[in-house]
Amino acid sequence: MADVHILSVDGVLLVTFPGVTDDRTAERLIEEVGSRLVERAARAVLIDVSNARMIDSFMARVLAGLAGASRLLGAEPVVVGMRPEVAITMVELGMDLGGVATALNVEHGLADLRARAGRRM
Amino acid sequence: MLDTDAVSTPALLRRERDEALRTWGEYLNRELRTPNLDRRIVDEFCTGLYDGLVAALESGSTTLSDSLQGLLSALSVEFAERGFTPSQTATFVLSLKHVLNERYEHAAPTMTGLHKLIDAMGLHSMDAFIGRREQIIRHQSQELLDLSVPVVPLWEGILSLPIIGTLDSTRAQEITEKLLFEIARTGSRYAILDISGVPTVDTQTAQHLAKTVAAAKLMGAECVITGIRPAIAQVMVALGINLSDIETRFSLAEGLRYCFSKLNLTVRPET
Amino acid sequence: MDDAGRAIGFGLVDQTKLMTAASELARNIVLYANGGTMTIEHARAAGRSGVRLIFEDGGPGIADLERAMQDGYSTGKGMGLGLPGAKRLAHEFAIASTPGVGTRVTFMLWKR
Repeated sequence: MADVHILSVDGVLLVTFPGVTDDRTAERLIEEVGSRLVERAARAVLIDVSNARMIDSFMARVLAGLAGASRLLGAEPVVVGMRPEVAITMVELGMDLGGVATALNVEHGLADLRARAGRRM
Repeated sequence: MLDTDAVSTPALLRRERDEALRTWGEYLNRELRTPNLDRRIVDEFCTGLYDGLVAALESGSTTLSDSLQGLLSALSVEFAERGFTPSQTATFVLSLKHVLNERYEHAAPTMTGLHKLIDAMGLHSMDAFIGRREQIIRHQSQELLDLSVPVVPLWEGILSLPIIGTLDSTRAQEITEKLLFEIARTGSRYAILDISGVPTVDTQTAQHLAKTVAAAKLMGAECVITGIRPAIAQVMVALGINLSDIETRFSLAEGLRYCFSKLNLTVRPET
Repeated sequence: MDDAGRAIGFGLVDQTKLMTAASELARNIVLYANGGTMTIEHARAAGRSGVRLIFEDGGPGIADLERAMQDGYSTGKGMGLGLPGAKRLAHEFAIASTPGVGTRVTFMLWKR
């Protein structure tokens, strides 16, 4: 089972998506993110997928589940750092992330969140 | 006349090495017509091949040793890189047979093993020559492909990719990959795909463009397609290709203007 | 898997496609057939080389192959993209199944 890393910075949860995902890791990931979201009242969740050397349909479903759960708990999900080869393969497989926001890396993701928050104010 | 009956072939070849090498060198110089090939290189290869051949004969082996194969490969690579023809390469190796035949005409029967070995050497050098040539051709076509996919940074965070010429499946794939890796490398949020240099677009090409845009989106970058000529737009509509999810602009300049506005940049004349 | 692709000189993208397809098909076998075998072959033909993956199981088999190859069709967890998705990543793809006996999937990716 892969380790789940969750960091909380300035109202944003930073979740490192494990490079290898099995059923148990996936379950634990969604559970932990959920409880940390409630605990920290985070407004956004950055899911860093740069460790993932591939994302198959199972992992894509976990990712979508994670995003969906975050939304339900009032936090905006952003998937960041997807590798080019992973993105091409996902598209060829016929998968997408169903309109979840994306960013090239964590810095871009944080900057986007700040920009959107600024517009709302 | 040479006395070949008294000694075995390898011993004979060893004894007359310098003389045979000199004759071979002269023959090559006369027949090969390779003025830009350094004499020393020729001599070096001749000596190496001759000694290798003698060693092979002595060991009674019918296959080429690794070191002899290595030398033949080196020779063929050298010739392929210098742009020599396959027949020049074959001549180099096979002419040794000719030279030895002239010297030991009356001893032909004892030379069968020798002939077989030289033939094997010729064949090996051909394989190596062709292998190297293929490698060179592959390398060149890759270079051409790289040249034909110029990903140009237009501004901090904005890449442009002017696509010129017909987009076949292989090229479309290369273009997609190059663009996405450049997006990741440079951390660019926007990419402008200008297709004004593409003569026609078929269903497959259009689908490929759509896939490129989708993959960039997954990574966190947005693509703008510019330069869709009216004729191509008509074709795309007729093919039922839906580009409504994709940002399109008439010209590269308009595409750049769109990216500037998204990055909160304004361009205005000096007052 | 990594080694097989690297050995014949796959680029990063094809390497990723190979790993992803293998993962899809392996998950399929674990989910529906309770396990099976995967064979990796180095294939050569007409001057090309590539990697062939063969998945065999002795599971329940697939009654309606045509439907199983459709997007979004799934009898278990997953996006229902396993088989049709892997097929889209392949240069050649074949599936044969006998209900009650098992299923055999062949996935082939050539080097570009």
